[in-house]
Order: sequence, then structure tokens, then C-alpha cells
Amino acid sequence: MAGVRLVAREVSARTATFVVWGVLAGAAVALQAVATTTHRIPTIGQVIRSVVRNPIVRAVSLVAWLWVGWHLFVRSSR
Amino acid sequence: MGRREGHRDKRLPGVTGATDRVRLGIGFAVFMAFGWWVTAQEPFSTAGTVGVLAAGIALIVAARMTRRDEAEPPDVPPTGMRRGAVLWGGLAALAVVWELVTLFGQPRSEHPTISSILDPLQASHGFRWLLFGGWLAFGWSLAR
Repeated sequence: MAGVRLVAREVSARTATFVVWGVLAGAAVALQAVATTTHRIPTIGQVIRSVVRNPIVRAVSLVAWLWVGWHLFVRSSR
Repeated sequence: MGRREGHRDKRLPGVTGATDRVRLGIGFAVFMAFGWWVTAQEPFSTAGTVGVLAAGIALIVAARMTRRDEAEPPDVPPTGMRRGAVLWGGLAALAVVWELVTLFGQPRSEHPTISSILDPLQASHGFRWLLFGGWLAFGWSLAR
């Protein structure tokens, strides 16, 4: 019985994690759709372009981007 | 006439005309051809590390060299820009917090991070290559 409860809890933890990721991704898609259709808020591209206009922010962003590339294509297990 | 000078293509930052689009296409194809080799390297290999860094630095240099100083004002009112910054910033902050929550959660199989969700997909060389293309495109938009 305890084992069944443990399995149920572990499954729900995994499911909850995916649900949160799904909600965040859905919110991003919805925001982008609202921005593109209404022009009342900026798209993600417009926000990024306005943020990286600052050279320091741009430099930090590019270093982070290089690290993401290394993380995705060199470090990741497969 | 209502159109900006240079007939700027809104979809691609820094791309103004047909010639620029052709150059961009050729450059992207060269980077993607190199990316096919980079994404075929073994994990943690020196060749992979050098390849990713070389591609990234070359892209930054290319983006900066071909950059034009054309500040295109967004077609969003200033209040909308502020509201959008709050919304997008809040969403990004939530994503970072959730990534950290899952990163420190154990076991990893029950608390998957973005990386661990992508890992099984990354078993496919084709998927890694497409992801490399997305990574390049994002870097281009940052570097311009």
C-alpha cells in the first residue's frame, strides 16, 4: 500500500513538472500571439532587441548564448 | 508613402533587401553545413567544444560586421512596451525559478529540467542539427 502511494506520488511529481513547463510554454505562445495580433505589447523579439541595445547586456547575453551552445551540443548526454 | 527608407524587412533584424537576404541565406547554409559536423562530435570532445565556440564567435563577428545602425522604433506605445517588459520578464523569471526548482529536485527523472527533457530528443543527429540552427538564429538576433 505504501509502495502504491509512493509510485503515485512520484508519477504526480513528474507530471506536475511537465504541466508547469507546458503552462509556461503556453503562456509564452499566448503572449507572442497577443503581441503579434494586437501590437499593444511587444513581441519577444522586440523585447530582446530593446534589451540588447545596452552593450554590457549584449555582451553578457552573448556569453550566456555561447555557454548554452556548449551545454546543448557538447555537454548533453546522448 | 508611409514606408520607411530602405524597405526594411521586419522579420529579419538587419536585413534590408534581396541581396542581403541572398547573402544571409548563403551564410546560414555555410554555418549549417559546419553545424552538421559539429553536432556529430562526441559529447565532451575537444573538437565539439572548439567547433561550437568557433561557430559562435564567427557568427558574432559576422553579425557585428554586417550590422547597420537602423533603429527601428517598435510599433507599440511606450506604456505597452513597459507592460510587455513586465509580462515577458515575469515569464522569464518564472521559467528560471522553475528550472532551478527542478535542477535541485531529485531524482532527475521525476524533476526533469529543460536539458533532461531535450536529452532523449538529442539522440537524433537531425534534431541536434535543427536545434543548432535555432541556436544560430537566436545568437544572430542577439549580436545584431
